[in-house]
Amino acid sequence: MTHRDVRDRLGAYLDGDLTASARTAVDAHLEGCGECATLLGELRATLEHLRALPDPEPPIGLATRVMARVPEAPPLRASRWLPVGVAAAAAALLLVQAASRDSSAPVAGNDPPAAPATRAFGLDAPDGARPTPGSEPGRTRSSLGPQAIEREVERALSSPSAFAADWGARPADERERWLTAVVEIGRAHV
Amino acid sequence: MSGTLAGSVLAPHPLVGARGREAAARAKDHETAPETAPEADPDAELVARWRAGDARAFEELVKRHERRVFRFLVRMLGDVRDAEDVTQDAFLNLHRHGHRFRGEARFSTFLYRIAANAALNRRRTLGRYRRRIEELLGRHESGMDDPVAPRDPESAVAGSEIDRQVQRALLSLPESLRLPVVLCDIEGLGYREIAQTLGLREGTVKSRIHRGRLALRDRLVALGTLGGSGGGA
Repeated sequence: MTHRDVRDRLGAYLDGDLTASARTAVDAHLEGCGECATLLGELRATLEHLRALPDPEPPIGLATRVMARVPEAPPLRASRWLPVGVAAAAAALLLVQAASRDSSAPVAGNDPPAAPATRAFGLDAPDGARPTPGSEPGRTRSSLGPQAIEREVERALSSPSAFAADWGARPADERERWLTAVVEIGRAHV
Repeated sequence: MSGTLAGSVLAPHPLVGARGREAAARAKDHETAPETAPEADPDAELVARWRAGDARAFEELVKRHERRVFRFLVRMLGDVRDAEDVTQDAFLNLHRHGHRFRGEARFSTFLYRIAANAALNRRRTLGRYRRRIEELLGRHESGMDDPVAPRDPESAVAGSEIDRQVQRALLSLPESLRLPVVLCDIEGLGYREIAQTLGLREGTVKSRIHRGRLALRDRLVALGTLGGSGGGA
């Protein structure tokens, strides 16, 4: 058995997964090969370290928290995943931009259920309004329906650096409103 | 990466392969005893009750398995808080997809599979969105590039310095090696069960475990955890 053959078999050797004859052959090699014997020793020590890792205590009340979420187990996308918060935050940002750039736009409506982002600003999205398909994130109009917001958010997420580039130029109060919205939305989704 | 979050809970994952149980059952390796005979499944009764509509049976299953799922995820993710979140997600996914469990493998194998997918999805999602958030805030730093890097590596293991080094070494392994090593050497699963969990052939599982251990050993030697020259017989 060559050096390499033995090295390849040391895993199975450690797991007792070799046939008797293969095991004998490996043993014979190990007798005369310090290098392989050292490797075996180190592999054995590695396994011991792995097995000695502490058994972490599951958080208290974990099962209760799971059960609390089970009856209406929300779709995965609507659970605690980060994307929801990011999407909502981007929507909030769009609305801030829209409100600050187009003050003549309608801000009061009473129809569709407002998205969390719109609620955070006390704004309701007018029903049925759609943005121009090609409009840039920074030039969004305020008249966005929920679906349009979703589309805009997708676009915003696909070029976050555009938002970042824009960020520093915003007035402080606008940034503050945006961050407040993020917190609100975060609370709503966690 | 194409799978949606919901779609990939049980669906084949690049690392958790498509062949699944069938491949494992077909595997020709005969050296491993068939230790996972379905009729020996200690969870069978609870699973049956849950399926019959008994919500308490599901809760019982959660309590029975939370420790192992949590431990597995702590070692896979290296972060206690992430592991807690993903443990919850895994059980919710179990609740949603439990009807797909057919009893060909052990229930715990099925659950490990769900947990493994939840861990892989978590990594992908975090990688994608953490970076975007950083960019949104205009302070993308190179230090944030590794989505798997735990926010607080020390929180992963409340143990000795050696434990922390071992956890760090584990995290340095690619997931394709980390998964089988954790399942084998921490969770104590046999080759056959790991093959079923990951949808791989037993031969592949064996080779990945061995490669993973070799890589760990290299890492631990480099960290000084293992004496480079000592340790021999």
